[in-house]
Amino acid sequence: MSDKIKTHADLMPRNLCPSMLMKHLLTHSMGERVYDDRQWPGDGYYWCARTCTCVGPDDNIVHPKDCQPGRQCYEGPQA
Amino acid sequence: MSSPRDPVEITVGYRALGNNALPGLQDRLEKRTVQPKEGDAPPWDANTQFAYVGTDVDRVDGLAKATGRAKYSYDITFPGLLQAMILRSPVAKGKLTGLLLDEAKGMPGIAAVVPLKEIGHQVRFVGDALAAVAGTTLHAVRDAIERIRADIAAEEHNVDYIVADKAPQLGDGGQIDEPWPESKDNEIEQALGTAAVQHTATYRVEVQTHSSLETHGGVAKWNGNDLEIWLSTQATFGVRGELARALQGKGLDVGSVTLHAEYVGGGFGSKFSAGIEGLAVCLLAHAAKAPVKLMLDRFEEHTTTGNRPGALMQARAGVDKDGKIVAWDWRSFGHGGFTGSGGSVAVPNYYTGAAKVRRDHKELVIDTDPPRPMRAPGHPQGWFGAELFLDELAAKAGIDPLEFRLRNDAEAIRLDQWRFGAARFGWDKGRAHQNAPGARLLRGVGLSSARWGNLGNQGRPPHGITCRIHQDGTVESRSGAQDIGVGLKTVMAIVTAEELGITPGHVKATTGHTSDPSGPASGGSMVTPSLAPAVRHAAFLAKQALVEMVAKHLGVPMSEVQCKGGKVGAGTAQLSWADACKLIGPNPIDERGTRQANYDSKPFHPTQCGAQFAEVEIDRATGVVRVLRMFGIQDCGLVIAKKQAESQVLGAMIQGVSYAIHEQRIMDKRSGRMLNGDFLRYKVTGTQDLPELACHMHSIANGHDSVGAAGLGEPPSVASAAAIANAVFHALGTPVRHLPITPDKVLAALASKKG
Repeated sequence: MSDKIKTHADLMPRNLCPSMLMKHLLTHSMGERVYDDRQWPGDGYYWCARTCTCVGPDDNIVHPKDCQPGRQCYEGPQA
Repeated sequence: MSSPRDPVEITVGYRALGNNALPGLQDRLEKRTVQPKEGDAPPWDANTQFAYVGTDVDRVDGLAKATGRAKYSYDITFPGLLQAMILRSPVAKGKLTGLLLDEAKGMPGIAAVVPLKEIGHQVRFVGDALAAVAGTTLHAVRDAIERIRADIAAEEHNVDYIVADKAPQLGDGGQIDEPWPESKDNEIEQALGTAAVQHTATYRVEVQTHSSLETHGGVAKWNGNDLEIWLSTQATFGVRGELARALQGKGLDVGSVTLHAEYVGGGFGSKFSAGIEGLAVCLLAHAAKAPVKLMLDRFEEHTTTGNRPGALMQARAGVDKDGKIVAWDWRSFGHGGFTGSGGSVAVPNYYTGAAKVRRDHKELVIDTDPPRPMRAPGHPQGWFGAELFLDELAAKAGIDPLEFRLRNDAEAIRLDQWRFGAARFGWDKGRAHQNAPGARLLRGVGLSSARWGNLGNQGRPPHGITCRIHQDGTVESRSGAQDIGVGLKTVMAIVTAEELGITPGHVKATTGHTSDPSGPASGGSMVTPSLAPAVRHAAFLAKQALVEMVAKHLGVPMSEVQCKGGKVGAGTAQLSWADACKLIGPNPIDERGTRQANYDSKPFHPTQCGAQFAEVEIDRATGVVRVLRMFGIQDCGLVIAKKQAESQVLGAMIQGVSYAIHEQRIMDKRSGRMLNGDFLRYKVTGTQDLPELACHMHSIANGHDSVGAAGLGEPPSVASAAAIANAVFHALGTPVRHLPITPDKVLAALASKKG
């Protein structure tokens, strides 16, 4: 567990806007919205609320770097 | 929204472990000024005198569990309940080219068949879900499953992360045989160059499955567009929202889903999602227009519901002439199954504060079920590697392992715990033991640190609790959050009883129904620190309502009325709890408490510390390791339910014994299938394997909210396997760097030592 809790925006690569993360992307820390100092929010465990699996409706793997605008099954950002 | 009220000065910290009887141990008490929100309960601190908090209160639902009255999702049944199963891929990698369901649909007793994978989509592991069937009996369902024709164009697969893309080259003995990359400004190399002693080694751990006794699954029942589901989950509200989104095509919204998980037979991190089985049971019940039950079998549980991933780790480090670590270089490789994510490895950072440090981690992809969080994700793996490496480093430097920790550990709480634990365990005597030359049974002792960090949170929106006081004197405390077996109901009963001045037996605690106030998922050791202040707030508000009635009845000032020892009153004007509650009338006092944000002031300590000690006995002839005894000391902020807290620590040790010497997923590389996906061949520590276990709960007034509880589920599970591995190192005189420490590895280590 990291000592430093940072915000989501601090951690995202510059070319990706955190507010555009797909609304159906879920993580272990879902609902809590606190992130550690790894590259991506959550702790590496992601799944899709539409499929209840680690694969999205488009048959591609779910991950914050992939669940972005432009993906076929992207339905909008998290609130 | 609450507004600030006057600041309060409190005392945080703890009194000396062992009551000052041990050298070096002293009171660590500090003053803090905290500012509770208006309307919140005043903070408990190190000077609070408790009647029940921190005492041995029996688990309030223990009898219900022991007698079978507690109903788990697995136990739910209805007239006309259909049974269901999932058809799973026998192929580890490929593409689904055909899925013919019609014959299965026409089989006798079959009520519904639904596809779970589209034609053309990838099959990613043995066990990937293809379709689900519901029928009147499991026999009928099994027959129908066999009539489904699934065509899969198989592709080449790999289930061994050691030969995955981007995996490092291994040399003889499993050591990573690749040069370390140059560090920034060559600083690691320079620090290593100044070290009096250097060491490098490679460590490896295998996959451990969660092995929850209640498998994943549930019972679903539709009533028009409303869905009621009993699911074995550790995230009641999260899963309710997930299912509403997954089923949005059925005209469902979140408010139309009611989820029940009052009793959950373990989860350990694997039950955050509804999972394909949760979705499948809802789809089948909708299609069949009847309630359906779908619970996974043990093979599915082992192979399709996540795991603690394996890892390969390499360290190199150096210590100076004073035994202080000056350089720490670490690289690890974890496997995330087919997702290539979630295989992370954590390592302790409190030994290396003064050292040049570098850490690197890479995730590897293999064609298996991906990992899921498992009790301190990444930590037991990393602590095994790091703590065994520390012992090897200490041995090279000629320093006792405990002394090495005392010189390098930067956390004052754990320094006290090392000293206290060593005395309780008998470290010096155990360490001084010399195995006779040629002795068949070899003994050794080892230790490891533990750490976690969770002081709970408010939730968004804030977590809530309902507290009701009834006319007959009974009290309800209700949360919609789940209790996955750790003792949340008991925590709720104790905190409520403490606040109201009654016994925990007066309090009926209920959890796991989404019709009650929302709470967090059971993850990250989150629930008790997040909910205990809300429980207390609800009881505090209910108490105020009762006090107002009693003050009016007795004609005394409300400010002087106290609830204590089963009485409510002021001075000599007292009512028994039962008589006080008779003032309430037919409608109960019904208050909703909320979790306030943690205080802005600094807590006593932001993380939780622990230490564990283990003694092993190894049969030199057979290589069998027996763990003889273990002792653990663990901080979790304020200890509320002492028996349940101890149970968490002892349970973690048992799971750690299992991880250290027994559990291992064995994959068939050719078929990609798990070879030991049952409890016959997947060895889990049993009662005959158990060591003598003891622990000490290190209660600390942390001062971060009105209660001061911190997380406990994860931290004790961090240390156990590492302590056992270090004990094996001591016994053998050579380390076994690969978990689980099975007899073959012990014999190989002994042979290599001889060689």
